[in-house]
Amino acid sequence: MKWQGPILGPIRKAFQTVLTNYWAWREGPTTAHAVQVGGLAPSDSLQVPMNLVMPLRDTTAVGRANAMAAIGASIQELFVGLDNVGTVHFARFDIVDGNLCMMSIFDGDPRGYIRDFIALFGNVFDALMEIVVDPPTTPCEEHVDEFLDWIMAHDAFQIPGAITEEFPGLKRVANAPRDLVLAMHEQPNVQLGIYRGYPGFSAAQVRDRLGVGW
Amino acid sequence: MDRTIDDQSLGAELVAKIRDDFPGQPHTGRPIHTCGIGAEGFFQPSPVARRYSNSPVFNTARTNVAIRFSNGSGDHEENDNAADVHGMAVKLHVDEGVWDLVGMTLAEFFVRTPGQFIDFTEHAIPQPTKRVHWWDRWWAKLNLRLPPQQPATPTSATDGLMNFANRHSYARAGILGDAMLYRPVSWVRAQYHTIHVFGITGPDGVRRRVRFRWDPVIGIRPAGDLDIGADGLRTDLRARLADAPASFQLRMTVAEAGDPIDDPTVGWPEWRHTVVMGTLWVTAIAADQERDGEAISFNPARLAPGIDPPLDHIFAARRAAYAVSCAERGGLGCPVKDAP
Repeated sequence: MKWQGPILGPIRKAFQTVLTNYWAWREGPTTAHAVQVGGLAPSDSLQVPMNLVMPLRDTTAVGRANAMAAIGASIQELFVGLDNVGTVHFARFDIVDGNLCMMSIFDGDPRGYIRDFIALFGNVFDALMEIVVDPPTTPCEEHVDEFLDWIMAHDAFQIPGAITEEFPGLKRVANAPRDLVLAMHEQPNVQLGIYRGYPGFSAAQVRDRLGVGW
Repeated sequence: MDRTIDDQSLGAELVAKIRDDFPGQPHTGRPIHTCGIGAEGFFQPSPVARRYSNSPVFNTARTNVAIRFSNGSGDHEENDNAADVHGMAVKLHVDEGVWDLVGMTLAEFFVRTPGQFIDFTEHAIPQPTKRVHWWDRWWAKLNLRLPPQQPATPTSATDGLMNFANRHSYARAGILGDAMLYRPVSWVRAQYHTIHVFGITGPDGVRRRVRFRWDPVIGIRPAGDLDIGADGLRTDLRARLADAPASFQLRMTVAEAGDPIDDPTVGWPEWRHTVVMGTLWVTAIAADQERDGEAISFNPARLAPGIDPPLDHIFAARRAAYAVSCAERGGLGCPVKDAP
């Protein structure tokens, strides 16, 4: 019997929520590992994703229009800044279900990447912080560490390709589904997978090989 | 302590242990990947392949190949509907030699050494299954585990393998990968991995450690709940090849610093350099299935010039085990040096 429909569906959801909360309480914080970047190998630091999910303070149409206007007013500043960072493969700005999102693929260390943001278009981020929930102290140039921590906390959890990488300390294989549920309980935003068309190459190498300069 | 890989009896022991996992089966065929079908075709290297390898396989415009598609089970009765590992063994004939590139749908192997493999096979001996009661399913749900399914067969190795995975972390990628493996609608709609790490040298003298995989050009397609029939894969392949050739791209992933090159239980990050090395065209079913589907012998240790052997212990053990298996069933071209 499938627990679906207007009556059984909510009962199933409530049951699952109670169970998940119980196991989260009983097991404590999960040991889920995100994708490991910054290893010894050169490609460990190439084409690194950052998926910032920043809840909007006002999710009404008016609030979303304000967010659109804020990005639109700064788009040239953002694009020139991203050009000047020089390690970015692509960056995208979206509003998804009341969240302002910046999805990007870059080369190098995530904290170094954010420091480049601050240096090159920190004022744009200062403006964006006015429209998101629970922002860090601005201007970000004067509160670098707080801003770095805030950004890292809003970067969606990146799930490794193999469950054995996500849970290297797994005690019982049969418990892997529960560990997955508890990891999802802790991490509402996740990157499930990422495809790379030319893995192992930096933005600089691609631009150089294409003859468009860097 | 692990057996040494030059132990002459090791190959025979490995084959015997594998046969123990399929009780009641005659010892006349392959101990695993017993049911299969022979096919033929050719391989064309990509324009960039020669930048990475001096091997004639990647410097010859067209290489004739013999192929054997198979189901992983050691059961002599074909069951294409079974959840199983699938195999694609490719024998590439170049003037300078033969390369047996033996692939399977599992990306990582279960164990690192022959001794571990023997332990693994002992856990894989099927045991009588128990009926799953409603309270077993509810208990699993309350524990946020996957509800157990009613066993489809009177015996199963699942519990034994899960116990093995619980005790040995190195086996988890392979065993969980096997448990989650898709059942393809066609042998030419599956991806095949060669699990070992080979060595190649480019014209610039640069030596690289690499892994190969075959990607189906028309994509992977799992069967899901579809019943394809006991001989569905065989029927599908005959029908497809009567209509048009099927093709696979040979993709090569290049190791970087820190990547394990002697451990088939561990994969590499998906962001490593990946190079398209060529295209395999499967053109026809082999006319003589007795010779080209059954008697034909593959051995992963049969390498073309310019392909350096993998360094892991499982590769060395497979060399012995495949030779023993070939001799037992009277296969063609058993000694590795005698390429058929």
